Amino acid sequence: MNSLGRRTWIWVGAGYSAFQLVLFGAPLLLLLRTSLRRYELGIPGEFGTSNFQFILSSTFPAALVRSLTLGTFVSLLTLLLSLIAVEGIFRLRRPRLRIAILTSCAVAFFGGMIPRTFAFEYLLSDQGPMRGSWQSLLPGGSSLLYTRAGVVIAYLPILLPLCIVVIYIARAAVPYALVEAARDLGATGWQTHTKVVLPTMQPGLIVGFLLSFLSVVGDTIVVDLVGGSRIYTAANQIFDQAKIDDWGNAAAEAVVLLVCVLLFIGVSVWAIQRSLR
Amino acid sequence: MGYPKKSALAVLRNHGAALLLPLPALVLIAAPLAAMTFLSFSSARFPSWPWPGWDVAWYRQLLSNEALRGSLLRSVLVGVSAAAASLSLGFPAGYWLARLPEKAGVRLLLLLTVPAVVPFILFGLSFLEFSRMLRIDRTLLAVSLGHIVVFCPIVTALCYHRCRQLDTLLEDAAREFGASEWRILGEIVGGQIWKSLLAAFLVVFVMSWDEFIIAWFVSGFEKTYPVFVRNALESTMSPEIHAAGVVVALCCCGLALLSIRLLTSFRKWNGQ
Repeated sequence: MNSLGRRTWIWVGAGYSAFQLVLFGAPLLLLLRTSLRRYELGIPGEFGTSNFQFILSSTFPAALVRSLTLGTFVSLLTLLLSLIAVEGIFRLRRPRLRIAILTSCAVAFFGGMIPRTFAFEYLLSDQGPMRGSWQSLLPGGSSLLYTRAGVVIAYLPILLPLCIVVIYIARAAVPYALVEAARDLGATGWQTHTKVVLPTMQPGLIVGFLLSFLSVVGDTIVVDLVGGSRIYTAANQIFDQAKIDDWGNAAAEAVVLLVCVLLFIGVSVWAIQRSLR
Repeated sequence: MGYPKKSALAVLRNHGAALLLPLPALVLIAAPLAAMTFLSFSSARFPSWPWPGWDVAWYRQLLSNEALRGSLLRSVLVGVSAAAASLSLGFPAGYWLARLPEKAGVRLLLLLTVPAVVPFILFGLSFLEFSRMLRIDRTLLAVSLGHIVVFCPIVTALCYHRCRQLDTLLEDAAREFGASEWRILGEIVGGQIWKSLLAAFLVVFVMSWDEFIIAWFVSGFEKTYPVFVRNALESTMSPEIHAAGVVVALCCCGLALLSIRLLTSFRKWNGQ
């Protein structure tokens, strides 16, 4: 690349970085400013830390813990189901069948989240065709709608398509020579999987977990439609406060959630880099 | 290598055990789509079991619902503008990152991908304040701009990976013959990866179309399709929403299928 070309690309890079910095960084700074401002009936007032003091003494810490717990549990379950599914897909001898299943998964990801969740509500409810199954499975004889288990199950159809594709890519990247070497050295199928295949897939597993976790933590739709008023997460609390123009508290809660999320992303990136070494 | 054609039963017999493993995940993925399709053909207004009977009345109502059609049109507008702008910004940026030394390129790419992974509720809330400052709040322009910020990194990442696979010899040759950098980008690089660019456009369009939370914060009275549906669910339980869901899912899945076909070839999927 000559000096003129280099200069062009320096401008392109600087322009793009500036675009992201201004349109992503500036709103976050404004969010921080809003979180430090008291709002009375939607009208901004004095600066201070009263919003943070208020949210720490409110139901928010419990909602945040619930969000993080739900996110972790749902992501682990999604990861486990994806791993099982990918192992099955990988064992299919006909490549066309593999492609058909993977393509269906990838396509289902774009199927529209709200209508799908709304339809899933029907399957979990007392009015749906699964009524008998839920009544015989659950101790109280009730439906899964408005229960924690129902929310967990309702997240799976949304997260599984993306997670399966990510895990499949990670599984396909495991060199077959490694698997063969482990088998030649006398490792059983289980040992090969746990000591060779899974550790090699680690970056993909972390990405799959991270994407699922962030989707759950930031989501308001599934919890609202399937969880009703019984399950209240941090994202739902922020959403509800924004609905009633309580901007100061909503922003303070958003800042706390953002810190948690950025910490989580940082740890994940560090873990990915460590596993790639 | 060609595979002999076999009946469905033979495939099941050969792959039975392997097919059982992904079955729970596939059933879970298909269940809401199937339920949505069935409910859209239900003759009853409220979901019930035993099955009340079949009807296409909700599809007929869908055609006459102007508010819903308006929201669909607005979503198309937002999706197309967000996808076009993301492509115009993301393609040069992806190429620039791909031609940096590998370590620096990856680190910068990771940093620039943060907007796409931060939960949208946090960005939506903060972007509302920002759009107020720019005096574009409660407009479709604000929704498009918000979507460009969060979806542009996806295009950048896709273009980065495709550009890294290209041989730089062609670009160097074009440079030697006096081609400008923009001409190299458009004709040499763009000419080789146009399928990926089209796929990136479609992916962003479909994601922008389905995005709810940023649109909810900044759209105001000009509601996009997901915002319209979410608001409708608070006041009514019409199966029209299922009918619209089926139509939209079919369109989105068709576009997604097309983008997957463009992005990947048969050999890349087969795990070799």
